[in-house]
Amino acid sequence: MIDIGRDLTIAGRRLTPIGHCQFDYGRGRWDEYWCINHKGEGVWLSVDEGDYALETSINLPDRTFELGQTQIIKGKTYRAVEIDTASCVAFSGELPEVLELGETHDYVVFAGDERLMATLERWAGGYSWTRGEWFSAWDVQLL
Amino acid sequence: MTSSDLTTLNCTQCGAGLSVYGGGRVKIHVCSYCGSALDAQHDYKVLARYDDLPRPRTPFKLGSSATLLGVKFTVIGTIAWQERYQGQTWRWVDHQVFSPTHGYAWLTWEDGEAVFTRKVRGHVSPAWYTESQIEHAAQRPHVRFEGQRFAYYDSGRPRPTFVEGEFNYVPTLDARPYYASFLGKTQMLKMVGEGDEREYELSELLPREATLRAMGANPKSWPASWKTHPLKVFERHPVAAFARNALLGASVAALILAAVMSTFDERISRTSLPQIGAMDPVPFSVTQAAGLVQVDIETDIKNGWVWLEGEITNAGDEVVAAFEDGAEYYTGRDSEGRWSEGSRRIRVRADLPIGDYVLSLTALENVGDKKWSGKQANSAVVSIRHGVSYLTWLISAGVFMLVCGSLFLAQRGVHSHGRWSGSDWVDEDD
Repeated sequence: MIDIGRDLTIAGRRLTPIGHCQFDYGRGRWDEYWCINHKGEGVWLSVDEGDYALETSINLPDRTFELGQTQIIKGKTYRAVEIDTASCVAFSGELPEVLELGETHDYVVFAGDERLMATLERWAGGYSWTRGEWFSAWDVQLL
Repeated sequence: MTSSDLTTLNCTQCGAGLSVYGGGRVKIHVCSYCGSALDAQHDYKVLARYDDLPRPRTPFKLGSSATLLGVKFTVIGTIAWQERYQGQTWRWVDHQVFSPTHGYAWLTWEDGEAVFTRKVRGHVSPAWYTESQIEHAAQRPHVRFEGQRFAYYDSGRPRPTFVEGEFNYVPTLDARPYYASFLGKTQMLKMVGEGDEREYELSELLPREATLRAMGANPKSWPASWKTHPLKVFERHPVAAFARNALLGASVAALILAAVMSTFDERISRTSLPQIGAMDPVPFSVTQAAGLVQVDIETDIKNGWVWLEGEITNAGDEVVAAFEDGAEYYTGRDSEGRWSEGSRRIRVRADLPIGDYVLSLTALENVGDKKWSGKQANSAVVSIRHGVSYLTWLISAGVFMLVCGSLFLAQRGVHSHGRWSGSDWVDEDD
């Protein structure tokens, strides 16, 4: 549905996807697009079977989580709802980090109130926190 | 091989071949043959058995695909529901549908209509209504979502009666999920779940026949219900809209025309006749060629009747119009208060050309009814107008067209009443 270089809007926010990578989590795959927003900032757009998430990086320390455990981010409570491992099976275009095929990432997905969500990803040699919002495929419009 | 590559699998309980239509988020696959609930995320281990369940009647089959709201979806699961309340039973069938681009949604068959439902995230205000809050609400609860206002429709705890196929959650037969639904203009917002598991769903009606055909079902085998589905949007056929506008427009024109024409007439004589037994001739002059001449004779008869003979003669002493007419009037008081019946007035109309005329009146009968302590008429007042239009038919036609046009307007109200007739909300005033 999303192509590199083709602008889209998600809930009214205009994005230009410039890079793409795909992760396999065993039962299925999800796509991540590195996009530039109207301010020229980079954001991640994750697409997993109709669930879209728009996330930006945040600074938080690494720690281990179990399902149901919570993390406070900017005064809001986020609950761990999915913990799993995925491996990178494809990438193309411009990305903000170096990926290798087969590289595995442990991830924890957190759900906050309403649309809020966050992700902790951990891989050999690093980790990252991102925070953002869920959207649905019905919120996306290709331009 | 990942399960995302699977198109078939063998039931780990009975060995039957099962087609896989769902995506990577499928959590459970209930075998269509033995009813085993297989854990799709843990090597299809058997979690439960749902055998010998009554199969619901539904036009949608596992594996059938159709474009719904512009997106191709495939039916991957079937779950039938039953809800009982105050001796009534409601049944409907939910089908989980899947699209690789739009994920998981529901296609529901209820009351002969197809409804599409998808999960939504966002700010719902207020965020939740419990059963107790609804039960004790003084007024019908409302919620707002994405600028739309939704009014409370119904709530309940249905139970599943049949499960088959793939689902992105784990349905169980002992589940009694709570829902509260709120109806908007074209969509229904549902609060689903309990405790921490709270979700919102948005439903809209699909075109019945097109959806049935697209899913490979014959619409004739699935007749529409006589009931108005709450999600059915009122639609007026263009011919009906034209008829409504034409009738209302014509009725307004007729009534305006009648109102204007009623101002054309003019009083040309008003004469008091103090003795009804010896009434003086009443001279008058007609100066308008258009319209009729109207003679009103107001008597003071009470509980009796008076019968008059009249003649109108022209300047050449020729009788140009003659009439006999009476006034009968009764009045009194009873346990319900004051009453009256009949009229003291005699009204006649004549078509007279411009000229000078004389009206001569003679009382043929003048009776006060003794049973009612009646009194004869003593006097009369004669009013004569010219240029009078005969407006009864015009007004009647205007009113008739107004009533017919209003029936079209009432259609919307009848439809709205039908939409809300299934709501379980009862106003305390009712």
